[in-house]
Amino acid sequence: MAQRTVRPRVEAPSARSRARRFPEAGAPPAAVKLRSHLRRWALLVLAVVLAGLAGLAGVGPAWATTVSTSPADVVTAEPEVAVRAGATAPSSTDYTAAYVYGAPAKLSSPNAATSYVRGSPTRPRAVSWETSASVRDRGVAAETADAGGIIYRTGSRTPNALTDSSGVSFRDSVSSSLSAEHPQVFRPGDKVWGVDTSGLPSGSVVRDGVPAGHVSVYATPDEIMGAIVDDPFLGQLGLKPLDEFGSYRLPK
Amino acid sequence: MSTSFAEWVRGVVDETDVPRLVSERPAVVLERIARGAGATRWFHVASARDLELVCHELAPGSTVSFYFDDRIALLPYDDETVMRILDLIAAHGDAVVGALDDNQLEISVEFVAGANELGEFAENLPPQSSVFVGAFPAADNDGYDAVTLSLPDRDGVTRRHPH
Repeated sequence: MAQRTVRPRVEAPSARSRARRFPEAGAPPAAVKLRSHLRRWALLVLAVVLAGLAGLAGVGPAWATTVSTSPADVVTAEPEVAVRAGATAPSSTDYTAAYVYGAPAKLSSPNAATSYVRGSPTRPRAVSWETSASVRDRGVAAETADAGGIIYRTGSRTPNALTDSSGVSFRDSVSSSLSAEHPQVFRPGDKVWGVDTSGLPSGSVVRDGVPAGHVSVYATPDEIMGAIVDDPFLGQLGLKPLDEFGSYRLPK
Repeated sequence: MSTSFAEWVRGVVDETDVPRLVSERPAVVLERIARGAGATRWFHVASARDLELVCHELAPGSTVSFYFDDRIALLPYDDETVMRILDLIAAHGDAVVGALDDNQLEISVEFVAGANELGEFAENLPPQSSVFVGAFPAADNDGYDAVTLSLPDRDGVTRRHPH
């Protein structure tokens, strides 16, 4: 049996439907061109008028106005917050949360990430403390260069010890700030070592002073290790030099 | 430390698998002190009672890691261990070396970076001592071999602090 091919039937559109769908199709070519030219001229005139108005308003020519979207200029309102793996996810009634440890540090982002432990009595006051102590200081630090000088830290100098997305903690002297909230951090017999802040990336050093003398550094372990110096002042203080370059032991 | 803060700490710890894991394996605990310029405290937790005692020792704002594997191993202090420590120093720059205090809870740790520093540490060791040895660990959090958590401040708010 011979196979019969069935082709779909396509009807040519009528002249009326063509005119409804393509209103210019039936018009003479010269009229279409004229309408198109008029539209372009109208748009051009509108653009010039808008540019003039913008100039009068003091924002400069419209074509010279740009918006910076580089990451360093963007202040993020909501820092990255996540619950650690292995921890219980927070619910609407449970404010306990923790932060991703390996999240990248953002110099311009406010350090306003807070979470609350159930039963916390002072939620509003705590947030305002955070705003005054950290957000302002970090914002300023991102815009101004550090004055330089040596800052000090104790403990291991390995990358694992110098990795913290919340900043790496230093002090601006080998003394300790003593208070009930912040006990002595450099204890007798501790190893201390120094970093020259001029060797760290611009804007990475934040002298937040919480507690007094505290310095936060937002740099990679390699950058921090590359800025370690042998501070002769520690030797002059009579501290014992140790095996590792630039390390001294506080008296026991 | 106020009782209420220790209760908060206990609440944070109880929301993790740490109590269950402690019942199965002992843990070495690393406390990174908030705004402490690198200051740390180390503990050995081998029971639920130890865990309760440690919760009363931890400071506000600390980042606390519980390690249940042997990355910080308890070894007899002998020639083999000395070689292992020197290998760690060669590989990482320094090594964590510690001895358990008399309270059997806190570990007195040194970050030794050479043979002289190791010799100083060994001078104070009683004979036949065991020591904790390892590279400074990362703040890992796989929920099995390591659990890391952030403690609230004294007012109960958990903030991001430099450590």
